[in-house]
Amino acid sequence: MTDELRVVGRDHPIADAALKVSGALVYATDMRLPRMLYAKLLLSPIAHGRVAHIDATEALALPGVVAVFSHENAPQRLYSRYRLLPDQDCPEDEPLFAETVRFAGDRVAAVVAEGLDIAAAAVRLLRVQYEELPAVLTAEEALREGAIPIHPGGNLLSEFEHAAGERPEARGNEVTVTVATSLPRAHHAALEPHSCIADCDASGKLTMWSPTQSVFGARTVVADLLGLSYSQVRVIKVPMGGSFGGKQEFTLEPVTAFMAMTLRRPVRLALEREECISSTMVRGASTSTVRVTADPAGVLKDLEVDTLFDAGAYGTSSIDYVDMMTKKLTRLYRVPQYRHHCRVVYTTTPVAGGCRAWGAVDITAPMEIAMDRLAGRLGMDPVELRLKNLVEPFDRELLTGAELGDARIRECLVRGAEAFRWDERVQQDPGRGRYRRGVGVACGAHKNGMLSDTFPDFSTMTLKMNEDGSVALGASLHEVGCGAVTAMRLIVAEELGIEPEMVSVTEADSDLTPYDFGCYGSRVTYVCGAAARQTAVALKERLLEVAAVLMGRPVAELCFRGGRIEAASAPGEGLAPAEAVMAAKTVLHEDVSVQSTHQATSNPGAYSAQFAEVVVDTWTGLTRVTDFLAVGDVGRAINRAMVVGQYQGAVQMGIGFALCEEVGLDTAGRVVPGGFKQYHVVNTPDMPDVKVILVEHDGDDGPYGAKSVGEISVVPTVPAVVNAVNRALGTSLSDLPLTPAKVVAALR
Amino acid sequence: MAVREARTMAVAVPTTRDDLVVALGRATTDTRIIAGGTDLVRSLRVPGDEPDLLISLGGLRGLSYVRLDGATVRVGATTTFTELQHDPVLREHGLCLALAASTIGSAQIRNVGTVGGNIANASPCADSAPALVALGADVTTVDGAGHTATRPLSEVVLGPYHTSLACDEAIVEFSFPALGPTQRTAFTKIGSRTAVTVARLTCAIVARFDAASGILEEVRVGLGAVGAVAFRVPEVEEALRGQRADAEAAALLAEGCVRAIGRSIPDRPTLPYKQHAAVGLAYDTWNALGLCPPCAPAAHDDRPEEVA
Repeated sequence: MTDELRVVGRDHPIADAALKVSGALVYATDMRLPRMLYAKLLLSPIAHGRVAHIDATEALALPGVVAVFSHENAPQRLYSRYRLLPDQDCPEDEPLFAETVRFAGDRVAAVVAEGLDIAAAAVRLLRVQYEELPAVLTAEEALREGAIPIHPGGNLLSEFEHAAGERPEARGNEVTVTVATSLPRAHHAALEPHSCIADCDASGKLTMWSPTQSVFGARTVVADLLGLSYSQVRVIKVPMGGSFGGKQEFTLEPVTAFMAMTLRRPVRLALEREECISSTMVRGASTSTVRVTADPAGVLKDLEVDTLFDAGAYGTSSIDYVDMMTKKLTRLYRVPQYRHHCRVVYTTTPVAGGCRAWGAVDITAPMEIAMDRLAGRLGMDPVELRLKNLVEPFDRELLTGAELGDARIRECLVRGAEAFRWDERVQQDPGRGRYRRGVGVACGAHKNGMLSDTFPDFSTMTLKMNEDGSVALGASLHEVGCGAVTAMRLIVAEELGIEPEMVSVTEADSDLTPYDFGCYGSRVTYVCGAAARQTAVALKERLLEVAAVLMGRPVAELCFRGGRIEAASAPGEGLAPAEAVMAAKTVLHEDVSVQSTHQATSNPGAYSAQFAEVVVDTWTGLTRVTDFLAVGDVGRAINRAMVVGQYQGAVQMGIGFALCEEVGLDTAGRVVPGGFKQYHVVNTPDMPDVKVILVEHDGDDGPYGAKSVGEISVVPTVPAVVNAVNRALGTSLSDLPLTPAKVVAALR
Repeated sequence: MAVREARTMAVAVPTTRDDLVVALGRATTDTRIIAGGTDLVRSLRVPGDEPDLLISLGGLRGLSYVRLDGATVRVGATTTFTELQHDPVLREHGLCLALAASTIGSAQIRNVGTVGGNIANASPCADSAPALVALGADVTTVDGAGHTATRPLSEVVLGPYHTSLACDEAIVEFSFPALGPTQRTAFTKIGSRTAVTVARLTCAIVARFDAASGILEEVRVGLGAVGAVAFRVPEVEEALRGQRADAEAAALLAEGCVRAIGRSIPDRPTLPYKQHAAVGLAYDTWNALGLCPPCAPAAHDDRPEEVA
């Protein structure tokens, strides 16, 4: 198929690249609406307590201050910031403003003023008295007998177990390893902090401009909370400076909408970095204990996992997030029995929420670290052990019976091991010197969209052809920076046989563009991309219908040839699509446009195998990743340069998760201040040259065979790095991140 | 529409030394002096901490220089880290300060951040501080009355973000004895990553060395980010004086640094890590002096955990 592709599979700059590098792109915080007000939040300085009294006298006296909001003058209704569908089962436990603050960073009050500096000054004039309650800073503490309940229902938000299969009869020679791996709270580190603008006009219509991953979800949450009909709330997705899942849930939209509706003026709320880290969402802290059993040949016999997840102060997506953790390992390995017990626990710490790959990073690190431990116990090469157990193409996975499609993880691992010269490098002695070198490998599995036995997936798009033959795709896309808009352009251009520049693509506007769940869940290329292709096919059919009438021939006789519509029996006679569109308007009084809904019928596995080489300084404890190879089963690269870039960016994020990224709390539960000065991602000087190999093939249902990239690309990175460090040092580190202090402590 | 009464702040941008004195004459305890602004601008954004008067040194072109004045190196207070990093005079006569400057922040920060600001801000992690300490630098200031005063760096930086500078007193110059051909110097830093990182441990050394005998005649060691202020380590300096410049000297340096850190931050939870890392850092610094073939610390007794 690749030979026939003209546009898809090549390198294309992303649609807004020129705007971004020239600074011309208008983000929410660049917008200035007439009469716009500025809001500033007062965030709780304590982890747990009651707001006994708020004195806003001084703040309100400051010239330019318009209003102060708190629990005293805001709706008390509890909501879920995570809700997408009105009937979705999600815990409603969060108020607009807290009367009981449940973490340091909780919203206590907001000042709205004529200027940002006034709002910021006025917030400092609010006098709040708190009656402190005991802070509960870890999941273990929260579950302890006698721990103070953070919500009325207690601290155990959810406990469940998924199990499938049967353990084969023991022969007595099996080997079992048990490894507990902890991942800390992490910050998404999108360059653009959270921001939102809401306006409410004289008719009561609420319009919001938000860099969100789901306009329809934002609309659901805001309309339900404020008692508005869905037609009274319009959410427009504006340019977004990155998300990584941190803008999937609706952190600022509800409170901004409430203030705009109350004041009937536009209100802008934008966070500073430190507010963004402490008060929006973090990747939750978790500990997963993996107990894996294999026979002496390395064939897995049993896999049991116990996960304790710290949801933070509010439930939001945590139950679903942890549920996702149970849906990854059986997509990766064949195992006769799998059992996964999970507890999701409230604490008085920053709120956990969606984060890139939704649980896959959190569970793949424990599994793949345990697999290396198992290889060590069996005296087996880590690649060999994995090859004995990885799924095969067209397997059904154990837990849900879902088909995995043309799952090429084995090919990823084999090709990667060869390109990385694994067999040779794994033999190298790390030595006894100050600097120790080691290599590590890990595999990971993810998904393609949200289709499951309990959830649908589909996407609707419109496509109209202009009088010059160019086309406009109407789609509820939410570009998060991964090039989704460009990918849709390429798919439509490929299908219609036109240049990508001839295709315009919309982003989401809940009043104007067709329904779509949003840009997350590794669904955009696989589901939306398929919708774009299907819509383009429908437009071609529509063009043939119109041409048939105009040419007085049966549709069945017509086809596209050399960019024209021709009759098979009369070559040379025919119409260009643009001519058909013009004639449709002037002769037939019709428009050439279509709407099409693509319903996902499959959710195959997305896969990656990754290889890391590290050098650890045994005196300073600093780890440097010196070489990295990522191999991805992508089905087909739509925009090749962007896919490679996605992988390289994902590896950077994963190395940070492995080595340094952690939202630290002090003993009182406050986030250690300092923003990016304190929260270090891995920056360019510490990045290796990340090599990427793409495994491409037909066999799955995505557009041109394409599968997801944005999330699977980060899934195996953490354990690949950790396994390399442990190989270099002969350690068994699994408490992440592997900071210099932890490395040194392990060596002492 | 915007009402601006929430903040009023005067800004003075003197362009001559006399103007600077006039501006300093208006200073109160709420006044701030701004040079590169890489630390101050961020804090200015915190409402409630607005200065009444901001005195910018940015207009004083004459405060940016490195020059050799006889046997003394003079460094203007608003010399940027980028300028220090590349200055040929400094690289010849005070290399450790140039090296320290090169490790600060990012290229963007080094382009505007100044050595005077680094010291006046008095962060315990200030990268230039241990280098200036090891060089034995003095600080020259001018105040609102027009008085000029010179005192040792240790009498200026008193604690974390705390100096002896009066509110109407600005640093104008650093000076230290120029290093000659018999002296070697080095600076090393450990952060939490290679670049754009706050120091967790810094070490600067100045050593006078007799090439004929291979003997260390005088050594000055400055440590940073391991206490309230950057400090000299007299114990190590004593131990190394008269020592042959060899692996044993490197070991003495490492041991001395470890002990000094133990004395400086006995109760800090980071102590075990910093003491361990100091060994690596001390050897790196020693090797950078280039006095003997590179030497390495003896492999510490690492016992890999039993594989579960």
